[in-house]
Amino acid sequence: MGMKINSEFTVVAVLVGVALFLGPGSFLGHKLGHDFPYGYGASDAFQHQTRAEAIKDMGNFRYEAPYISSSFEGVVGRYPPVLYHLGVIFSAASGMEVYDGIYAIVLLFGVLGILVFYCLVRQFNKAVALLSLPISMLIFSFPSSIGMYWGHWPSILGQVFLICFFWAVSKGSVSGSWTLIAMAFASVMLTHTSEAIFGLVFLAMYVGWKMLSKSIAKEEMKNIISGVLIAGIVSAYYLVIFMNTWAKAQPYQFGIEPVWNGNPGFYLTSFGLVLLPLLIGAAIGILKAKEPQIAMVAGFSMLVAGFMNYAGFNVRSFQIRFFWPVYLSVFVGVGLYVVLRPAVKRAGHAALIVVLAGLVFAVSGIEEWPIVSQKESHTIPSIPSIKGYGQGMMDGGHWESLRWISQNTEKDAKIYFFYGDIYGNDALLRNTKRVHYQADPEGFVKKLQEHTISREYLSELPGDSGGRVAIRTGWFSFEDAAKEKDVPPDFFFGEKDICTFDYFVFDRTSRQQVLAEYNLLIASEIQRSNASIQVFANDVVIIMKNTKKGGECIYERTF
Amino acid sequence: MKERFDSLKEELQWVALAAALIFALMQVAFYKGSILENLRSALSLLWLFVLPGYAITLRWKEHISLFERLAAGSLLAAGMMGIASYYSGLMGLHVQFHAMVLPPMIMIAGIWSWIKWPLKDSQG
Repeated sequence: MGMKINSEFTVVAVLVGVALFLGPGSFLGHKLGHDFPYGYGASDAFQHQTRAEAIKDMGNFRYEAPYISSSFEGVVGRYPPVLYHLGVIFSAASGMEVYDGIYAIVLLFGVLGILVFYCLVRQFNKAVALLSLPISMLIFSFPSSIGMYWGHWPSILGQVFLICFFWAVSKGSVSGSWTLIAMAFASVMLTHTSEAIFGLVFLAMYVGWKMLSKSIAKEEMKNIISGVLIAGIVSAYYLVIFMNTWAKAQPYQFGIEPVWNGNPGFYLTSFGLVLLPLLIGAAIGILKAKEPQIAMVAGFSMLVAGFMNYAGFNVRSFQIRFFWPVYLSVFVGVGLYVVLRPAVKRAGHAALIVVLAGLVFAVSGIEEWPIVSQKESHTIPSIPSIKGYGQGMMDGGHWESLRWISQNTEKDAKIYFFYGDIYGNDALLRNTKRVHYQADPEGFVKKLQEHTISREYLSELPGDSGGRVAIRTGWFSFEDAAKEKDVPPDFFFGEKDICTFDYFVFDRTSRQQVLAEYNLLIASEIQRSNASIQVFANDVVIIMKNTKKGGECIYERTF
Repeated sequence: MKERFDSLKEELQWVALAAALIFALMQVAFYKGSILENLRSALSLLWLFVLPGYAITLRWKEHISLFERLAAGSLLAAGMMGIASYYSGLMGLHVQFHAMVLPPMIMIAGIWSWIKWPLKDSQG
């Protein structure tokens, strides 16, 4: 089956170009390489970046690096591995830094997911597919785009593979398609395992619908079942880890969580005016449901999956909503097509092109539409539009200091971070590649209010505790690392003697300058004790090496 | 066998065109970066995902359009690459070699399955 350049592919190429420009382009400041992690908006983004860095250093993902897992050695690598490995491989091939490579993979594959979903909708109707394409780009608009900016990257990539799984299932009647289904489903399971559950929701709806309409063939059924089973076999090694870590730490519990607390979740109202054609399209999809169209089934099943927060799936369901603009774009396409069909029939393709251009203009964010001054995005119906976030939370000065620690300190050095505005997003501290503690902000402020400089500060041992920090003791047996190592109760959080650390890190600037000044006061008392030497300094950070570890390293006093 | 490989010639021209298009679109999206940086990234995408994706879906050449095979195939190849990288790492092959070693292996596997197990029927 060949291909020829026709107007459809030209339009698709242009739209993909627009999606690349507005999505990955604007998120990455229109360049792929940066001097520090660019466009990272929250701790989770750094969590994934540092894990990929650790895999690059270790050569594999058998274990988590100790600086990620609260200093414990031998902790089993429990996160689904595909994202991290792709980030490392892409950075190795392209010469990019891992922090650029892993984010680029998530963003670029987001666009590829849009394209594959277009292929799915195209099986149903070409005009509908074209009309739905600009709507899909809204994954890069707020609040959907929080998934990328805040670092829900495994879920994003998992959903891209989920779309690929829908596509593979759509080929279920083709000989040997079990291979395609197996590859796609295994990719889902090993990228973000919870998406596999939603894949099964889709499959149940698709097969059920086909059975009701008596349109499923034995061969197709055989391909689907074989594909899913083989994917299970391929993923078995990791699934054993998953069942003994994530599944044990976060077992299913029925619960109703209508709102995603602490997150700007995506709700149906977030579609604004786009909701109108969406509802029309969904209604038509239900009314004309005799023969199940796979894109429609994908839309309906992901709509259901996105509402499974009412059935205990909470965060996982809210994550599915990040890609609602893609899944539900088919309904919008149908809705628009039904409304515009008379015009398209009269004016031909030109009308379609004009509508597409209008849609691209509307979602591009060039102009807010309707042009009404809004204080909250939901108060006045509007069309959501795409916007990048800019630099994110990292800056050159902090990055330089973190890199300096990773390259110039002893491998077993223990680092102590005093107050820093960005350190609340503690995963970024893992870029030191050293075990580190940090001052607890509340305890720190309390000491400041007491006008005290002391040797002990309330401190936290940050680390990734998602899932279960476990050590594998046999093929099917796992022990909690903290239990296995028998750590004291204040190991993770409590008063700590700063003199037991090898390096101290002080921020020189803060949004609340008094905190930075307190930092510098502590630094000067450490220097006055002749127990430390300054080993690094730039405009934002000072690093001191403790030369009397365990001894008197600071003058304790009040001021 | 020669005829089968000859039939790939036209498709490979399209793959080359797709590669050029990827580079052109990346050049527009990442216009603030250097041409060299964008070229390397585009070539990496081609080497890691597009070509292996093309190879592993070659078996369905007569049943699925090239456009779909390139788009969905690239995703399938990415998934396979990630999975193969995970397991190869566990088996002792350092991840730094994977970008070099895994794509040709996946391509060979795809081409081999196309030659070895040709699809007979024309459903779908």
